[in-house]
Amino acid sequence: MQRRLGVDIGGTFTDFVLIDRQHGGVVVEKCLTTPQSPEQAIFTGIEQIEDRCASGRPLRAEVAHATTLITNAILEKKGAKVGLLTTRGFRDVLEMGNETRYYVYDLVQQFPPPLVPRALRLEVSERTLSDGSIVAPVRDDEIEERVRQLVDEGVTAIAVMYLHAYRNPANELRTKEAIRRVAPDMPVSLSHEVVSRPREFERLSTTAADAYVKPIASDYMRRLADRMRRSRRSDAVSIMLSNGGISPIATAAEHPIQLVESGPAAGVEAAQYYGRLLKLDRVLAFDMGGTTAKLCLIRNGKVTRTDNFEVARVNRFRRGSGYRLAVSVYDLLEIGAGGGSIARLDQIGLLSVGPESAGSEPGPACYGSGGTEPTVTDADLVIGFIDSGSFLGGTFALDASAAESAISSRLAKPLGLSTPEAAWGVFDMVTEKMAAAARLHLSEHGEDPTRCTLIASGGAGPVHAVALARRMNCPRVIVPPLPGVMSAFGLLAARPAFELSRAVRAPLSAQCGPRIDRDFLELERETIERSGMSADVSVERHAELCHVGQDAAVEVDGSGDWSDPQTLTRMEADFAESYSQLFGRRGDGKTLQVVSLRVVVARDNPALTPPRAPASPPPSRPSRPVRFGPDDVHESPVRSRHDLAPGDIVNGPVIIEERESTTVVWPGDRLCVDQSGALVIELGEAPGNPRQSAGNTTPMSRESQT
Amino acid sequence: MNAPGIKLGVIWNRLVAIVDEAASGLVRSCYSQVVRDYHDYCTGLFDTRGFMLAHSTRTTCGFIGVIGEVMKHFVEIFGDDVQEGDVLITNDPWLASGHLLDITVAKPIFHRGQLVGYALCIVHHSDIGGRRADIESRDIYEEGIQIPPLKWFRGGKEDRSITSMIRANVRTPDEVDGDLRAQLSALHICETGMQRLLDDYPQDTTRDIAARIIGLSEDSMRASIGAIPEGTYANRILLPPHGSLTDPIPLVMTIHVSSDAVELDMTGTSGEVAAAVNNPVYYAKGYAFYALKLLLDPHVPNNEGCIRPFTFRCPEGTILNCRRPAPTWGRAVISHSLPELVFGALRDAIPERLIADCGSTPISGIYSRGLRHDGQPFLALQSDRGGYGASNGADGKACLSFPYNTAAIPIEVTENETALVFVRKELATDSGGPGQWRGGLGQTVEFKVGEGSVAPQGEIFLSARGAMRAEDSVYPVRGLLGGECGRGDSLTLNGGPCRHGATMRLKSGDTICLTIPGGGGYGPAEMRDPDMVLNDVVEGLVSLRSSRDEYGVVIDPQSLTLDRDETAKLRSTGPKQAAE
Repeated sequence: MQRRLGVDIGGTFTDFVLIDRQHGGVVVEKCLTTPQSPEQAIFTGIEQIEDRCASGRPLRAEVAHATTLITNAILEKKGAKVGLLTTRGFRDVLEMGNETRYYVYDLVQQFPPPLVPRALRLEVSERTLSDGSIVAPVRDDEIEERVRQLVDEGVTAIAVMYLHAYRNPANELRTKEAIRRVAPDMPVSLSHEVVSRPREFERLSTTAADAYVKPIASDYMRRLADRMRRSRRSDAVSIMLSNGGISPIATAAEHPIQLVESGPAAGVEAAQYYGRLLKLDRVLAFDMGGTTAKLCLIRNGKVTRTDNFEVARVNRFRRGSGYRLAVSVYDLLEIGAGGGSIARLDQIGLLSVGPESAGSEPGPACYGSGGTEPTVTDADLVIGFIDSGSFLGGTFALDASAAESAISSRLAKPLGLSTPEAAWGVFDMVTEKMAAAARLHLSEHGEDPTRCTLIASGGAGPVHAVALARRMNCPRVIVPPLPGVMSAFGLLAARPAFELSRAVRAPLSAQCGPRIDRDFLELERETIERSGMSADVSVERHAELCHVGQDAAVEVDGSGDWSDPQTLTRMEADFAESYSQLFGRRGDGKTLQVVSLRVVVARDNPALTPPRAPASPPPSRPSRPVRFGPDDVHESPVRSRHDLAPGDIVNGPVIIEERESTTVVWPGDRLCVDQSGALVIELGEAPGNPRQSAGNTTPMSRESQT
Repeated sequence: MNAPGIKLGVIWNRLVAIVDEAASGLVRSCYSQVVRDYHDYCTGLFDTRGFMLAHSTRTTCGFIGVIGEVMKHFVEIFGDDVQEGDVLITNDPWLASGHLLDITVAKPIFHRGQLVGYALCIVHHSDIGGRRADIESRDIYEEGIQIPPLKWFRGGKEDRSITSMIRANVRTPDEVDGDLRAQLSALHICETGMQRLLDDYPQDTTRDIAARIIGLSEDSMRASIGAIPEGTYANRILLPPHGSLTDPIPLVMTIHVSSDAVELDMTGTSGEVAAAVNNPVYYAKGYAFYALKLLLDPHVPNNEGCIRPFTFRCPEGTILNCRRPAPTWGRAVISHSLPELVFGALRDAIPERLIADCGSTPISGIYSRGLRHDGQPFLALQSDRGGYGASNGADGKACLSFPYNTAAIPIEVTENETALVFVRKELATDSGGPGQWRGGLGQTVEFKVGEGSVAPQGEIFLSARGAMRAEDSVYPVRGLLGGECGRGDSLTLNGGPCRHGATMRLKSGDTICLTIPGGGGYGPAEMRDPDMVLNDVVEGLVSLRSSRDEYGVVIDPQSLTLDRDETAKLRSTGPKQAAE
């Protein structure tokens, strides 16, 4: 297909990037998200593009898609009414969780209500033992009775979780057949299909969440695919999974919980693309929007994944206070710091920023929609980092006096500071908050910020990126073209890849070689079939190894002939190398075993010319005063990004404006425009470096920051 | 509010991040359920004097108080006699964490040739030899192998004679050996993390960093003490007799609160007992101080400075300050009650800051061993929790650890690794103490020794201990401000009585059923919002009988709807008076 369209549905806007492979042309579009029927925004946007291209014909394209639909359904409690069928005696597993407090210093702590209330958790007389033997088969009449009961209660999806179903799924499969007989259209999630591993709470929690989002997700995906086909725009809609994989929409609809981090994953793909293009071995992807900032480490083009994930934390950003989801996601860090984050004085009079956000309604004070509390965006406006006349290409005038008065009345007066000083304090605090979280994230991965390049995106990312990089001692910041639609672009830049993994358990030895080879072949067949890719694919094999007795594993390259001792020797060496990196020794002197196989089916990275920044109106003024410290104001030239050409070099301070964002280059920094159109900012030593300036963090105020 | 303050905050965050990363490295490379699923461990970073700077966020709380002490003991014993690559080891209950099962390892950290601090990691091991998890041991010698403070590694070289000696004395040598190596992972991550930190901040020394962190934390804690009115507070509780004891065990505490210091005096507390529940003093002190930290200044990350305003006086020879060679295996069943003892003393002074008693206090434990169906030996620990106490404005959560914080080992993991098969694990209706805010529900867990294809080879050995806090016992799960006691406490073997904590020999099909009580309620039950009572009934958490007799709420049994008029009438005459 000649044209490819990336569509990212976010909380407020739906973003589009269209790339014409033949001409290399890029079209960017944005329209308001339509939460009731998200596909409406997609077709509105496509029609806008069709109008702009003046072709008059339906736009035919391969469509790649990311959406916050799944996350929002959980966050806003808009999912299905779920009924659960589970092994007799164990319906309360969902509510008991792992029976620990998530933070040992909170005497009283809140937990999210279970996604399935107790009255809808019904028990079934079935039992599978740990060896897979079935001592109590399911009885069809009992299941049918239970299902009728749930249907009478009005449930709209059913989750099934039986003990040890990961080892023998027969009872779960038979239950599904019985459900089909009573309620043929009922969406059903079987635990062994959602998470094929032991640990009943994690499997149940994930399965319940899958059922919770399934009706919304599958209805939406069906409507979207149908309408794309009927309007002759696209026959092939694919969707991004939380771990960067790309799946045909039909496969994704089977287990929609895998889409929970779809949008952020697409943003990471875009940063990976620019990391590759600019040959950077250590990238810190930094996306800052209205409510949160997201950070993700990309090392040698690779991103760590984790299945230790949760959504909808009840206790702000405290790990363990949300719904536990054992799905594979990119390991990214989310902080409650965005343009809309509210700045307040806490009870002991210290300044804190976020995580509460003014959102888009009423929004920051400067939006003039009734917001009275000062936000990060208000501070950005007061210190001159953004301009009231050129926000969103000048189409959305900001009310500078509203921003000033919010900061003055709520912060400056009580603190005894001038309004610009207080605004600077807000800016400084949000910088510090993001830097602290980012350092922690890097240190968890054993990485050093001084070797990382920051790649900034999101509306507020380029505004804050240089300050953040300075605070962390990162040497360089990259602002790619189209920073406001990075996720939509990432959908097109991502390597088309789909993967499946399978648990095995065998000692690493030549005797087991044939069995592992056979398992790999089977898994490859299944992966290719479900990936929707057939031609021109490469197939990768990975294997997870650990010592006998351990559970967590180290992944090694699993290619080669497993019956060949040389292959095994190579894998042992790879294992020892990784083990030494992680734990300081090459092994524990115990036998190694294979615990999991993973197959990735992929096509080559798409041939893609980086898009050029689209035209935007000229800056409203040629220069403006910008504050780079509590008492450090520089008259700074303002340039339009569209006017910069590859090879241009500009010394800071300078402000680069484009429709979706503003890049702030500090005094002493040097901006070079790369061949790709990316802004490459090399950080210099500068007066007003925030590390030397007044800040507002004392250790005692950390609680209000996290 | 200044630049050094910002830098200190960043360094402090890094220290916590390092120990958390070390804890996750420990879990990733461990070999036992106790670490992987039960989370019974702690990692910490220290300055050169052994002052604790940070401990892992994920830990059980019994270790929080003791890791600072054990490191000071190592420093005292080894002094300057440490070099790069050394690893120190001990499981001495009086120097470390109170029973032999916990093995502590520590490593001096060097940076540019200078000693800059220590990393430490404590892990509860799956076995340490001896009588294994038995409350009847008469002295420490019956409880397993003792490892005095030794150097396990010298200059990076393992002393294999120590490893061999430990391996030869435990029932699960590969698992214990593996977990010890996982502890080395944690030390390695702490060591490199600390070195990298000092590379990043060349002007700072650990001594300066420690002085500032400890000083600020101490000041903050002293300032927080003002939340409790100055004065003297006292409390006395009786714990049930454990093992073959016949008399209840008194714990007595007098709290002296001044403007910026708190002294806990345990005079009057029971002497050492002839059951394996005696506490070396550091372990007991740790739990008492943990309660003060929770109440007073919970959000400053914990370190040496946080405990400096506190003193713990406890006569030697008592159950909270036992002497060698008293047996200590089950020490936690006594010291887990210390936070309640503190809260109880303050219940008239600051009730709105407290929680009612928790049904999860003290920890329950089921220890089993034998041969699985395939002849593989197994050795397992299982623990289930009662309900959390209610508090001002919040119902207690069902089944939640307090004051320890170990996790429930998944049923599937236990069944995979042992010969046990679970019959049920469910919330116990009506077990939450009634109150305006209801206590969290406790649970009933029933399991049997596997039959048929998963039957063990031969008998298995098993000991089970619940909370022992029935409503009519000497130690009920008390409510607060008129809230009622948590309910439900029983332990049976094949439906008949069963002694807590004693080792039994069980055969295929034998069934144990344990109910652990709910938490205490807060405020009078008649004050509870009737709609919340209705919801509890619909969810099966509270019975119709209890809703009427205890909450004074009338619900139609057929339609499960609320009869507001009848409720108002019943409440005005009072199902009973809003007592106490």
